[in-house]
Amino acid sequence: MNLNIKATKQATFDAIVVGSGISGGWAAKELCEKGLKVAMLERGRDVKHITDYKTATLAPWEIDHRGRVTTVAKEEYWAGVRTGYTANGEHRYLFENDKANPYQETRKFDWIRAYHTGGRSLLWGRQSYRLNPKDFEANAKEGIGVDWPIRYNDIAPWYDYVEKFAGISGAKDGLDVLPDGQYLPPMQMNCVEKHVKGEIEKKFADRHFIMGRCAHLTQPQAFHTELGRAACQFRNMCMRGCPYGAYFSTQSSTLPAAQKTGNLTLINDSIVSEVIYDDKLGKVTGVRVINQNTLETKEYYAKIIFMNASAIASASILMNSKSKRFPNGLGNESDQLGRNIMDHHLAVGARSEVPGFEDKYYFGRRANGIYIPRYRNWGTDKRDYVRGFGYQGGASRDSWGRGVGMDGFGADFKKQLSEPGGWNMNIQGFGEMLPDEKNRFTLHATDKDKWGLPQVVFDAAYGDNEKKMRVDMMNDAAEMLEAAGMKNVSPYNDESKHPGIGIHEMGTARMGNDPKTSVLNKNNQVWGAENVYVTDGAFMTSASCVNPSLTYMAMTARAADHAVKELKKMNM
Amino acid sequence: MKRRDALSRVALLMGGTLSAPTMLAFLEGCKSANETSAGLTFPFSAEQKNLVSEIAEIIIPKTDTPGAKDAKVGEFIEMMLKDCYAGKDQDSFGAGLKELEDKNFLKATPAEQTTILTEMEKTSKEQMTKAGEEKKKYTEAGKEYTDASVPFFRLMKELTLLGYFTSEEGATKALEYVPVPGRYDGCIDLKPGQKAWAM
Repeated sequence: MNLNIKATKQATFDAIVVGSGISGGWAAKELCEKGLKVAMLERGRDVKHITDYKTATLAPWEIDHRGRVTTVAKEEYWAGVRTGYTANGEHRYLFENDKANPYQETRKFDWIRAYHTGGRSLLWGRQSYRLNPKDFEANAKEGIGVDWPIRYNDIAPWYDYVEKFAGISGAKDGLDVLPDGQYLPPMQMNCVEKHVKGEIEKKFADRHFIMGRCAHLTQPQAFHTELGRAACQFRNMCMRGCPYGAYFSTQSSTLPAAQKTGNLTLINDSIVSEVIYDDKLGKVTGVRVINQNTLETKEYYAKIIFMNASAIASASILMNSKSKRFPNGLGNESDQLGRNIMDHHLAVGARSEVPGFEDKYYFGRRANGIYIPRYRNWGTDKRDYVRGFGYQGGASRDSWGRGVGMDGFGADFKKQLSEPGGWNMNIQGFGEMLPDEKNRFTLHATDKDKWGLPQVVFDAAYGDNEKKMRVDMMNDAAEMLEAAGMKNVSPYNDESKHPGIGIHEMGTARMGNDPKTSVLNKNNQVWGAENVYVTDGAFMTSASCVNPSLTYMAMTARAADHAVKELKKMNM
Repeated sequence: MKRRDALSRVALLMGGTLSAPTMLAFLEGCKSANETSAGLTFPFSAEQKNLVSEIAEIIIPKTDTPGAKDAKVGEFIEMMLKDCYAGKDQDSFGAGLKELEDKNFLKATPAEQTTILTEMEKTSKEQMTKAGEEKKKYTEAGKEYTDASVPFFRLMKELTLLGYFTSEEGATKALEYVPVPGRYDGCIDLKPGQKAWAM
């Protein structure tokens, strides 16, 4: 066999998965388990489970600058610092250096990136809620954006499927606004949270205060243990990578499952620059890759391509994939690629101090909080805006940090700070952002990144619906905390924040019923290039107000099932 | 180079006078490792190191548990000021140190030292309240606001507490350090005198 044919064969797989993050890992696992030979192409370096979690077991005094952001880091992580936590010393090395790899903003957008095996599945908040049936109908009912091409019943069995494998801790709360799922035991509320729950639910009949549903193993099942995962140890150092594999990430869960099949080839340092559309054959045949270190280009070929590079990146790659058939980017007859960027808006809610409970405490550090599901524009409630919001939050006792604002110093001062301070109870709203085709990113015509690829230029902002919603998000929070007997209730609504701060960017290659107004069909296939599936945040047709990752997992598993069935039918 | 010299050279290059805001921006932007304006250079002199350690020890003294000196808080404060704080805050810290040096702080009696620091704390609180009100006025009017520098005593206290309670001595002796709790018990009794968790 001559070298050329051999080289092509080595670069040929049954399927290519672009990106190894929270949805890419799922695509790889599903496709591998169904017998396909899969290449998972990750643009960043490898981060091996446990051995590469550099800071996972470090004590506070061992952390770079005790976690505080240095002035040099502030300059380098100029987008990261906007979140208030992603640039902190204990995990900053896992986030992208914005100065080294810049993007541009016409209107400001906080783009928080993590380029390595596992992507942001190592760094996510792990809150895992289902969309509800009305979420899928809202666009059509309200004449906003385009209709979802699916309904809740299409995804429900897939939510069951991914929840079981991922291991989601929560309770069946019986609320139609937040459908129940397959859960491991819920984490406990502390004394104050139990009290506040009682008070709020007594005074507001349509509001509920539940334990957060999170992707932590509170009771590992046999198949979790077989993958090497253990129960959550309540250290609350999740973003450093978990040595126990206790929360769901590519490293702890989908990667070992995929590797077990023997069908996976993980290839790092491989930046996919474009998808190759063969005009003669009338289909996509593979992807073009640039090595992030050597700048060498290479091609990989497959019958099926899954785009899981994250919402902005997947849409960028498709925009960059021009052919005679698709002069405006793959699947972009609709001109919707890069448009309709949504996120969840936050930084609004209320803080308060808790009277009493001086003789109560907790043991362990719970990396999860309480959740108040959406109640606005639900049932008979009607507001001067559409859609709704939930709250995440919790109660805790003040620690030594309170000493900064306290008067005095010396032995007594020190003794006071050695003991827990008073309780505080805080809730922060997460609100739905409407799709707006004017909220978009484009690829700069001439400015390139260090790999010769066009720089991303954002142009997005919150709209009137978001602004009106935030008034309720702030006032309702204060009202509930007051009603629960909290004191010094301080409402807040920080309107200086930008889209992107929720780190839930989505919508840039939306699903729909019509190729004129959407990029993907009801199976997450690109219109006109049906062997390409997009199952990361780009597909979202509306944002709901719940954390989206669980939905990405479910849709990925559903799409992988579809892809393999299509392959078997020789439709590919 | 001294800022004044640098400024005059830029003025020459730009063919004339610089406006006040530009001069200010230039001053703010010009920062090298040993740049000075209110006398704060790194590394601290031996006298400055000593003074900082002493103040930290007054804030968090050795009792039946280690104090700030045991936890090397003085060194920590110097490192944090150098690496994590803007020039204006470094200068504010420098001005505070100078004020104490001028008062011969280290030679004063413990009672006198307490009085001096209590007064400084009072002043720093007033400054921060004023700065907060000013910021509110600007941001409510939709105007950009550049944060005022943090007063000396606030910096001193904040960094002493951070340096102490996240140190090995502070976290393991003055607080209860449990690296791997293994479980979460949400609602338990707090025993009298029980220490707070270190994290």
